[in-house]
Amino acid sequence: MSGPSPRLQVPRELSALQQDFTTVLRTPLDTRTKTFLPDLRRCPEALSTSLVDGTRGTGVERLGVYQRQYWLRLFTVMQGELPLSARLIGLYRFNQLVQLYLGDCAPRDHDVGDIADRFPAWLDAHNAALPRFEIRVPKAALQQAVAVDDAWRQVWTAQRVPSFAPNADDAARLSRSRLIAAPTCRLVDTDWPFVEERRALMTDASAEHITLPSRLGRARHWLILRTEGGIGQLRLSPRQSQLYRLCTQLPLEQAVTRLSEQCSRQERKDLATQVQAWFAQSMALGLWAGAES
Amino acid sequence: MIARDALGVGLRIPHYEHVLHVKPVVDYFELLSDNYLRANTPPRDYAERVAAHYPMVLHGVGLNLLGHEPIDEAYLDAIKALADVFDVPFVSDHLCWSRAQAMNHHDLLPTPFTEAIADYAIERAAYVQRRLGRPLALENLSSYVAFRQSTMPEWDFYTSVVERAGVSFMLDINNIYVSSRNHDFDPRRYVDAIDFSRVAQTHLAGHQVSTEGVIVDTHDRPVVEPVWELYAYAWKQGGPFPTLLEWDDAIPTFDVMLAELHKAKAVRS
Repeated sequence: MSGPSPRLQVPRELSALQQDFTTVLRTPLDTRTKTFLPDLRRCPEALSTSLVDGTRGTGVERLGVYQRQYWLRLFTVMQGELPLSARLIGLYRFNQLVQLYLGDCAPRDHDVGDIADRFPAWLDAHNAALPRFEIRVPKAALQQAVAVDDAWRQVWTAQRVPSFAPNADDAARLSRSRLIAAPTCRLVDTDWPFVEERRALMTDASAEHITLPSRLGRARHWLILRTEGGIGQLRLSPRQSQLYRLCTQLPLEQAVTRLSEQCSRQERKDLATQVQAWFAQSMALGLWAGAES
Repeated sequence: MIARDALGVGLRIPHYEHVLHVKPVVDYFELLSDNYLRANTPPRDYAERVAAHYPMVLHGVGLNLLGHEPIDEAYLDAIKALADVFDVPFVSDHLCWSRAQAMNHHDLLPTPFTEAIADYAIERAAYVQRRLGRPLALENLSSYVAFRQSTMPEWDFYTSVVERAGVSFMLDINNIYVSSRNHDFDPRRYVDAIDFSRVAQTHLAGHQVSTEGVIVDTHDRPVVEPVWELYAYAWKQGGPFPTLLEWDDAIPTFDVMLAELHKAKAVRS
């Protein structure tokens, strides 16, 4: 037996120190000189007076090493998690954005890679009001780039679950069931060739800026999925992508009806055959984790 | 089982495929625990495949032993489960704090060296070891600040916690060197204070000098000569002990890492 968890009196100096240290770490770096420098102007006095000066700088200056290290580590992690977005707007501007984001959404989880989890939602909520930091990429393009990066990372980090293999009971209920997408698969739509750009980054770990490619004449639809060999990307027809989305929102029968209603007469001619083929393909790809009535 | 003179490497993502295909001659690998907590994910799958061929040990950064928050029981559950999967001979983490006010700082942060904080650490370290059901080894930090409240040198604090808690040393030779330069002490005095029968493992890594002139533990380059000299001194004082090379940034090819690790053999002789 391990015995009870220690419920010790925390040494008072420890709580106070950690609170003050946290204040310093969480203070955004100073970018007034267009570079990221420690900002120790808000260093609590109790902390600054407790530090020993050394031959290599004052105690407070040394505290700046921790502050800069804190933010640079988080910048690096975010660049790795969202490489397309980072290189599209440039690392310096991306880091400024990340500093704002992490100011609002402090890291809380054990796996440092998880710090990017809330970035897409944060950007959606704040994009319109954000200072632009001279970002020359349209807001819609940045949001799509983030969505592509996020699909990549979510597919990679998701816990594998068994693919849906309907039994006789499931099959009988299927038309009245909504499908549950496997966490290792994501659908994304793009108006810029961002999936192609993101794929190219798999073999390019440089920090080079990526020029915004021309906007596509017609949106592209992709299935991003984890495979034995890594991350796969499958281009889907607009209707195939639409069907898969509808299947996660509506019972199957209604999803197919809804799709049919939105198709032209010409498309409807062989829709039934196509729907069957798309379902067969989705099952083969392991797109579904289950169904719920 | 890891031999007392074993040479190991921290397993990193860029090397997964190489390790699995080439199966290089390495005595063991170390996993950064916090990156492998989720089952059925690619990192975990790779690690389990590597573990089919090599002994593994776990090294964490999330224990927050000196944090003011209670020990995170869910985290301990996850580490214990991971240790069971890989059947590791010990689990290591740091004598530091890394969380406060429900935020994870993802850094290894220092405290003053006082009796009260040592007592606090002893109680918590002993509890964690009991809870994990495996030996716990605590790593000494590299630090960039020192506190006026400290009433003892770092090595007294470290040895007091490890010995009185009944846990082991995860002795980072580079960290001793980094702190000795930053705080102007003789690193050999630190080594002299260590009871090597309690050393579960030593770490070696590279470092660099910051713009402030402080030496920063960066793990992004080869081990510097003075650290090899300190390693040789430690080996003479208390070898053999398992030795592991960490390289976390600007990660070179596996062969470069291996060549760096094998310098240890020459240094020992």
